[in-house]
Amino acid sequence: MKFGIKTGTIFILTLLLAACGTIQTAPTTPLEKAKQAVQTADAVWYTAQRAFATAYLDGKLTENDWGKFRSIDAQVLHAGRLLRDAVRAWEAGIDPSPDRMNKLTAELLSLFSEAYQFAAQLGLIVPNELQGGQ
Amino acid sequence: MQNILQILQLMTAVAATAAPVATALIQKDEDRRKAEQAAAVFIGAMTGLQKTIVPVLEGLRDPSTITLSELFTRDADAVLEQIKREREQ
Repeated sequence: MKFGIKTGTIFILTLLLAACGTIQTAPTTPLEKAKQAVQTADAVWYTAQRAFATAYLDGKLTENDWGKFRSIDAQVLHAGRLLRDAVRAWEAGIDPSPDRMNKLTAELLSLFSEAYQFAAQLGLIVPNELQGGQ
Repeated sequence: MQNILQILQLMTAVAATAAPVATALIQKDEDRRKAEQAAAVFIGAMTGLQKTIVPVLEGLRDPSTITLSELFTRDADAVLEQIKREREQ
């Protein structure tokens, strides 16, 4: 599936609109920034879950592949919940531990990266073609 | 399908804008570098997903409307069952 000029144009416009929306609704406090970051991480992971689950249902993943993804998923959910709870505690008035927040955020991003590399390994993503067809 | 692609594109844009926010929360330089590298890879992943995968995204809610207690509560098996139900409809 190649991206045509129309899709490429829509992508650029969407980026601009998203940027404008982000500026208008930019969080002003560290707590609001943290809440937005955790919410976005959850939404993005849901997108990844749907992508892998769809591929599995379509027969593009073996049982072992799906099992490996479930293992990554469990780790993401664990780290995500810990980060979420830390933000909730922060919201409730308990100052967060920077070291703990750092560790959990880095762990979550590392797991996202692992999921990406696994998707590429399975052929679900073709990184070399990302810039093509624009 | 175009609508689904646009949603994925929007998600990529949101991830691209949220990643700097997440990394800005990290105080240690070394950890921040690692996080920035991971974020860049992840944004690449989302870009790749929008090109190669066309999942059904009905039910995807605006992240800002979801309460903190709801986050990270849905595992891969639950999503799989949800997609099965959607296909049966």
